[in-house]
Amino acid sequence: MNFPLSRREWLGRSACGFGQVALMGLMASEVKADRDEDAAGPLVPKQSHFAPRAKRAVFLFMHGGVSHVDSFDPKPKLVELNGQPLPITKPKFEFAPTGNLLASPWKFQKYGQSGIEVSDLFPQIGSCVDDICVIRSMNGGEQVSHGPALLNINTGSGVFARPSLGAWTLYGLGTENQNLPGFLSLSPSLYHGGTQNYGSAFLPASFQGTRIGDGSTDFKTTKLSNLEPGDAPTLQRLQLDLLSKRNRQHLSRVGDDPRLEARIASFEMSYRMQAEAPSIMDIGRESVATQSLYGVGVEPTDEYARQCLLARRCLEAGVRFVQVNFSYPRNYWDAHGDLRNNHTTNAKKVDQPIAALISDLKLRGMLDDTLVIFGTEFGRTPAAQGTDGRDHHPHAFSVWMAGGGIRGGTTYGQTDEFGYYVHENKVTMPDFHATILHLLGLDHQRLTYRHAGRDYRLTDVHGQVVTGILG
Amino acid sequence: MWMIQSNKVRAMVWRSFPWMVSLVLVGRAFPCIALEKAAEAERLFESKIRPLLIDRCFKCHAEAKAKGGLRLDSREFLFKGGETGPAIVAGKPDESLLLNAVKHQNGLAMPPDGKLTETQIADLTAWITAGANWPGGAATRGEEHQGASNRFTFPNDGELAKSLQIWLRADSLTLNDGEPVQVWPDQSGNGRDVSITKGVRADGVGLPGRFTKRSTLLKRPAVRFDISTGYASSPDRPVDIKGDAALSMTVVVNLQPHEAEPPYDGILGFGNPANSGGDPGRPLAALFQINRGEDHALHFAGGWNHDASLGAGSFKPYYGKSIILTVTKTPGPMRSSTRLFINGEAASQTSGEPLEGRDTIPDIQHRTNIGTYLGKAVSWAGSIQGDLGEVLIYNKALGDSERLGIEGHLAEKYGMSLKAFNHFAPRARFSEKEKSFWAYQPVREPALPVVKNVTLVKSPVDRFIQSTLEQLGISAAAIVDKSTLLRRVTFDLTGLPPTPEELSAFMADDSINAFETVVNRLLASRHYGERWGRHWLDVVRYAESTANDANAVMRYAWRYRNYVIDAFNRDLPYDQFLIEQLAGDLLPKTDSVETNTRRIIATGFLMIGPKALAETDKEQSRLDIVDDQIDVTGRAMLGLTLACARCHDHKFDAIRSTDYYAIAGIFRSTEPFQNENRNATMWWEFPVPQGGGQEPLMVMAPRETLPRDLRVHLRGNRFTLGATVPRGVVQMIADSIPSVTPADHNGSPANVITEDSGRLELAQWIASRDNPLTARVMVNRIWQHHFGRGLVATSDNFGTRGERPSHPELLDWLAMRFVESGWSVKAMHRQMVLSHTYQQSGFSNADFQKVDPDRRWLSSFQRRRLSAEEIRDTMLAVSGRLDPVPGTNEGTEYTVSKAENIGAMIMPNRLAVDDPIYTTFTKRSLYLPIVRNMMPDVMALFDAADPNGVTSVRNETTVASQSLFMLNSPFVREQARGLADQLLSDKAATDLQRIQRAHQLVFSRMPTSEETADAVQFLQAYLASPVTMSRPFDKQQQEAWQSFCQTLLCSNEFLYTE
Repeated sequence: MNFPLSRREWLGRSACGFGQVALMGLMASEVKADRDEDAAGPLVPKQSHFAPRAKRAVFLFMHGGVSHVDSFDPKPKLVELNGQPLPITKPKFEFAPTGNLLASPWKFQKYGQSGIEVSDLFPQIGSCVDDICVIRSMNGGEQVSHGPALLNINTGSGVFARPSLGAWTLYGLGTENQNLPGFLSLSPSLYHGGTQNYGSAFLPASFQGTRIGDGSTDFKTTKLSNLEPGDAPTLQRLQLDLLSKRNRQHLSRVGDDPRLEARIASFEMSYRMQAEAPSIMDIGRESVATQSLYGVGVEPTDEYARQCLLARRCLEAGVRFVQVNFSYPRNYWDAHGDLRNNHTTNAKKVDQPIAALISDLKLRGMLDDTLVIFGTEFGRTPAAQGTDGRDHHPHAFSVWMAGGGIRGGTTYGQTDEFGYYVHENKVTMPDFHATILHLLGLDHQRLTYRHAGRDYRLTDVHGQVVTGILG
Repeated sequence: MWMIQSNKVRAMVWRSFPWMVSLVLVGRAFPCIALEKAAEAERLFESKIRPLLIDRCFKCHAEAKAKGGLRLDSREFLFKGGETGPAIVAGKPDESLLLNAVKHQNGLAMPPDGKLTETQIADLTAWITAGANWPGGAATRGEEHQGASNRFTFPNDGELAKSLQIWLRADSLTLNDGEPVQVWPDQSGNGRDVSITKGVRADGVGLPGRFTKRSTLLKRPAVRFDISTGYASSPDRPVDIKGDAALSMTVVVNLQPHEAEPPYDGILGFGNPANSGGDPGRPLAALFQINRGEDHALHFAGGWNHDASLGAGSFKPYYGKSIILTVTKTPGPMRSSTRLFINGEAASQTSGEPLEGRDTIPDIQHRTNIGTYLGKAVSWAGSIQGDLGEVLIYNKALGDSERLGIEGHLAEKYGMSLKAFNHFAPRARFSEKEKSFWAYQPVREPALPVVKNVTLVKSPVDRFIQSTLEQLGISAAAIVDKSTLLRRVTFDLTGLPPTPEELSAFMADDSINAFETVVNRLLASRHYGERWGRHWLDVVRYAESTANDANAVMRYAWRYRNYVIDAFNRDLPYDQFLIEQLAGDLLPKTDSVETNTRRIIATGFLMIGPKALAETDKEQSRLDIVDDQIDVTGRAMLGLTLACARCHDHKFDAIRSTDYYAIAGIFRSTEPFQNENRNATMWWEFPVPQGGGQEPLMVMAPRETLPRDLRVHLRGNRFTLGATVPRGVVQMIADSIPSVTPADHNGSPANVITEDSGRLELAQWIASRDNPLTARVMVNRIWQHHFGRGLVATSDNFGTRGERPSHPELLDWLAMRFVESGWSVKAMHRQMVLSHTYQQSGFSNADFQKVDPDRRWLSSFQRRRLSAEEIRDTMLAVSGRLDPVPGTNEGTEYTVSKAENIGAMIMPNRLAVDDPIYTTFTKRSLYLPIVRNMMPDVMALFDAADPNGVTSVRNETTVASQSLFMLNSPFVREQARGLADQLLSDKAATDLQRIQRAHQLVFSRMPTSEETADAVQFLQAYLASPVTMSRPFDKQQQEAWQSFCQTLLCSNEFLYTE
């Protein structure tokens, strides 16, 4: 069950921080031969395949399905044909039957120098549009239910257990700060694929995302689990001293074993982490001005503002990948009915924090090498569900990216005049993933892991980098 | 499939399938047109087509990269096509896959980066219509490469939906078997439901047919008509077919002859069927009928003089047969524009007769009092008797590829093996290199090696190990001390530490059999099955929820878990164990209700995998479950990565995609869902009656369904189908070990087709003593769990990409003994743990770092970290809180109590990863709720198996989050407190005695004097600390001891066994 590995094999699977202490000092001289990146542990920064455009990424994930035709993909034709049947064929795979076309309740305005149209749902994101490339031609395949669709955007497969985007990134690049997790997922939903959405599947567990909070809990009340010392620091120090002594006695009794040595080090590392990590996690250390820029302490923005601000602090501190979830069951874009109310409420919670994140990153000179991704599992049907809702629509929807390597102030791809199907420059989920990896300096075809007899990739056997969005 | 590789294969195809020749002949008519327009076509090609192909297609379909085997850079390649068939058919744009693809029809959509403009599509159409002229290219006659499309099409796929007028399907009815069908809802989206006519319409006489679950239509659902059954749709919603119109009608029927009047049997029609108002021939109706007056001639007919008939006697051979009838008609003269098809083939060709009738121009008019009708709807209509499964009407004449696509879909759905759609896959051939691969060779009895140093030989196992070590110039390590050995074997066999009492008993036993006594005691302990059952549960991806969207609670999965535990405890012969899991329901029933029930529970193996309940494409969802079943069966039982062959032949091993689909057919013929067509469907759970007045037992198990063979799914896509593969087993192994081959029904050694799914035959073939893999794979798993690493390190991959065995002879020797012992797993444990190799210490005699750094040669024993379950169980055990009673459904029922109740039996899971149950539940960890994608910290942190897939070797990670958990989590602190309370509860004990007791409980040994001194010093320092002094006095002792105990639990000596 436990697989004793050769020293070299084993080192590939251990991480003494959430990253790796420089094990070198602990290793006897015979490991010199192994002193390559494997030997230094899986989470130390690794050479990318080529020069990266972005060193880190933040994925703003909108759970439930943000309606593209009400946000980033204006369709005047829907206004014109409001209440009339869709004159083209509806998709073979629909979640439920839909009715006639439904005009967007929101108006679209042109923003910035680029004049890209964004709806009144997102005026503040609209004001950042010159930094953004809106992809209007996403296609999520045939994943019409939340579960498969979430897994599809987060892991590349709606059906099979595969490592998440963040886990692949960590596997490919390691992380800068060994005292913090390299991949954080803030408030992930425990449903619709749950932990698999930030898990490592068959990759070693060192690459899995570390969860802070979950979709069921107000982010304000959550923290990294087990970080709070179980006993007073001075008493815990006594404990660690005794532990360390006992472990060394044990080591000398049983003989060399890098696994035992690494575990000794990991206790010391934890002790340091529990002292240092909380300060990085403490957004109270930000100025009042910064906090209010994001909307901390004010409803309805407080929760997502806290998440975005924490994300920026962690990115700044060297975390490689942060996923900021706006997620079920407390926050959910799934507007089967009363679209107006659902999307208005949700947009008001995220619009300011997201815009603040972009401008804050810019202010700190971090936007140039930070990739900001705004995504959702699918769009919503341009035809109505009931009288005032929209159903799931993976056939065409919008996401956007900003920051490192992205050609800001542009749009990419087109849907047809109803927003039903991709009309031009389709971007599939593997394309989307390939592009993100590319921006991070990784070739999606070379980032492979051998498991169960074959080499796996995030993009399976598909995917092309969408060069049209690159700056 | 139609990338025809050699003349030989091609010749075979031609001989076997005359229907293809007919298509070729049809195709020949067109080059004439092509010639007339050649010059124009050439201009079109150079100005429009060539630039278009270069611009939009060559990136993926030219010399550099021929995706899907398709190249579009020459006319030959276009005609040759790719995996799905020829890209174009000269003169026939409708049948050209290239056009289907650019028009996004029939499940194809190209190019992937955006649809072509309408103009571009029109240009391509014109070019193909004109013969697809390619100047400068060799003018190969494209027809030679022509084959039928292998693509199956849903009746409402893409563009077809626009012309679909009505679609009745019996499998959409949700009635009980035998219930009358009052209304048969239309599935076309046009609302043309048909209902019985008696009492509904003024002139209606039609009575309801009966919903028949297992009808004469190959046991598929149908509506059963007798001579009084008749339905009609409302005249307010006539089908959109009028005048001299194009139309197509298809029915799936199995009809019986009868004698009722009038003497024509109207199956399906609309409009005015007869001479009304004394104007012969006008207006016309569209009506399928059997004219008994002409000796059962099949007509597509209506009023007089508008017949297109197959002639006298033509329907006679089809009574009592399940058939697909199709008529297509283009506008124009009746007889010459009508085509009739039976089972996908042009009916006139089948019967050898051309259609009869007159070439009048029809003019379809609708009746004002009735819409589309079936059977005896009104008094003037003719009756039918038999089963109707499906009815389709289109307002256009379907092209051949569209029609074949739909008929192929229906044939697949109704399990019809029709000549028009079936071409059986040829048997695979294997190279000598493939055949000679070690794992496929029979297990052979090896000679026992001779060794020099016999003092280190306790059992034959040691001879194999020792002989290798002697070749390396080293020897095994010495026997380990008794307390370490006891701890090692107790954890290995039960997953729990020895108690201080067990330790003293063993220490006191000086007999030569002392260790054997311990081993026998442990093998008899019911904790043995809990430990070894858990290993198997890792492999078979055991969980109690469906994952995916609903992540619904599988309420009776736990019975399978307990079945596995019980099977290990009873030492159920392993071959039997495998057969029961794959096909326990198909074994002959015994007199024992308990045995019969247990065998049904065992098939939970097929049910416990992840499954999508709300997948809109149900068939896709079923195929994904089949894939999971193949993957787990292959890797768990055979050490083969069979699932790699879903999309193509295995890239490395001698496993063809035909092997995959041979087994897929078996599993597809086994149904996990209660209703395979309904969205958000429930899997099978049913009560099994128990004897003696006991309550029936609810179980989760699959049921046999209609046996069917599958076709190879090219690139794993169920819409691009290749050859049909008879249900069967892995051909490479069946070929190389002919004695393994099960009952040979069809002259094909790999073929296990029977009346049933073939699961039992598959199971028996896997569990055969002659199967070269089965015994090897299991003894290797047992070895792995005792020695930390399998003799084949990749214990679920014995293929070419797996590791080679370190000790191949030993592997075979153990496999021989395993089978010889009656597949006794416990006998294997004795073989292994009673060896010197198992009992040796971790200290190598030699410089093992140089010679045996990975301990691959077993020159000393490899310590292992405790598993997640062992860590949790042992902490509970030493804290005195472990409840040793076996679990039943407590975990599941707790989950149920927290689940969302959305009605029915599907209960989405709402258990959080940090739910209190994970810390408060005191039974052994394997009885905790196992919810997919919600693995609790305590399990996930220490690398418990992810139940989304097969886990044969767990990872062993060392991460800081584990240390944080050990230091700070309430759970660990709670267990430390339990241990401290136990120590302190003995008021008479001295601190020294308490320290000793703690060491005995946690490490199975007494402390050294240094350790005792350190402990005393720690306790003093803790108590003297100002922080402690500030706490309530009565808590100070408890907290000091708790902290001390926690330190022991954090130590490496606790977390690892030597």
